Amino acid sequence: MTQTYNLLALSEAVSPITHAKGTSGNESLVMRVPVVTPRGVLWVPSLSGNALRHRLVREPGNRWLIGRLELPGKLSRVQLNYCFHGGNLTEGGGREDTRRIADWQRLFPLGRLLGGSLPAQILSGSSLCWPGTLVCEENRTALSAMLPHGWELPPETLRPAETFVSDYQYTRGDAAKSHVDLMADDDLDGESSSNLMIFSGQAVSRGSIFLHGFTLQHVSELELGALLLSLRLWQEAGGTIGGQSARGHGRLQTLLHVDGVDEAAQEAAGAADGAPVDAAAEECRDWLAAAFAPRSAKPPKGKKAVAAE
Amino acid sequence: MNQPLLVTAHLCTPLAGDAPQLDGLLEWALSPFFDRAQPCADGHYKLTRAGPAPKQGGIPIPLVRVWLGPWLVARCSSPILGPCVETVDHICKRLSTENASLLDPAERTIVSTTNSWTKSYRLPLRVRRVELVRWFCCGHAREVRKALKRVHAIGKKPADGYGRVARWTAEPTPDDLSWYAPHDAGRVLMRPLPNGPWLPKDLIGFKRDFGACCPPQWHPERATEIIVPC
Repeated sequence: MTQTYNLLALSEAVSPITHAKGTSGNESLVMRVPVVTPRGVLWVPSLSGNALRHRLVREPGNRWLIGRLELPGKLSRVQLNYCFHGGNLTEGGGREDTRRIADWQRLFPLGRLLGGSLPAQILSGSSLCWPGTLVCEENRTALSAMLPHGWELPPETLRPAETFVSDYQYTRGDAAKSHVDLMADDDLDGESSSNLMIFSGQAVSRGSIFLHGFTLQHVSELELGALLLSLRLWQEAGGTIGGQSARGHGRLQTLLHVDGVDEAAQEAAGAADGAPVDAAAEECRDWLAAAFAPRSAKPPKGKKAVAAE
Repeated sequence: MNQPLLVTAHLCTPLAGDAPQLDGLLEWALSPFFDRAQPCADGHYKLTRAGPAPKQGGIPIPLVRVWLGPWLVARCSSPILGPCVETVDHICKRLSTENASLLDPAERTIVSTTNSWTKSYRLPLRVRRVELVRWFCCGHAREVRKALKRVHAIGKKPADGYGRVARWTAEPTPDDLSWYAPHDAGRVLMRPLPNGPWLPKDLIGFKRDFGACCPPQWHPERATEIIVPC
């Protein structure tokens, strides 16, 4: 039985968030969206749905699945592209294999959620990922609309968006200056240009909160479980979004609320139970091999056929 | 009971691309209940440009529809957007080369990131921050609300969070403004209509075009001589 689920996620930044979009001079800027307010149009920091969908669901979920199917080191480039970026339509269309679609829907709950593209046909998904909306006064209307029925924002004025924006600055060192003792004598000419670089940018401060979520349309508990498992894997792997994660940026601590599903059921649905995957592993591998198999060459016609004979 | 209505989509995220025609949206929302063809993953039926167009009116929608020559046209206006701020977002894609260790050793070759299917891209996407999208129509308010409850997002890229609808409202209005709106100089066109003798003589605010006036608007068999608001 299928139904529509709404998942609400409350993510608190536990390190500066540098989900960037563009630069101003040498400084990188955080992604912002325009918001119409009584004070005019203001540009408020946001997290794109595209980034959230990839980092929270597609990447961790498919990485787990590839491991479970014992496919590391065995994937082709088109299969890799499909798993991590949804694939590309590269061959002439006009024909769709309904058996392949039905098998895909049965074998890959995560794929059914996200959709994707095989070389010759597009597979539609069933999840809508909401963008991350910063909890601030400018977003009050949007936040109220996102909250489940019966939930309300506190009546007190929230902090304005700009108070959540801070800066960062780092220095890339120059080994020719810091580790001179390790250099070859020939390179100690003292005239080489310096690699020292200072780089800086905007960040959304630690302690900021983003509201985001997912709408899963006409899905079964399997698809819900695939999403919850992906989210759990993402959190366990640091729960990062945006750039500079190698420097500790972008960590989110996320709480989930699923409309109509209690916490115990959520826990059960999102458990990394590999048994169903193991049971269908051979079939999954066969499906991936068949769906991305190179197209067989057309038999020669006319003069070429005669020459071939 | 059919009556003049004002249907409103209250958006809580920016709208990408354009808002849809209301009759097309209602047909799409109600299509899972009509066994027409192969169902998609999201429960809706699937049509392709290669196949024939579905019969007009095959999916009953809670709007009044009128035959204008060979075309069955719904009594609803084109979408009307409230005050909006325009911006451009970008959709990026590239081959996941950081996962090269997952590839079969025979597949670990140099790939081009500037052409072919492995080409990286960063495409612009027109985005408008708009809180209300409205349609004037003539139909059954309760049934319209019920059907639209199934529509969670409108416009392009809904899977990436654009065009999310927080709630739908359908309120009665005193006048029917679905096709024409009154003006001192005549009647203003409110939606694409087929060009023909059925158009009023005092019609203003339109231009001639070639396109569709009933859903699915993208199907080649729906294309005809039409007039569109301008």
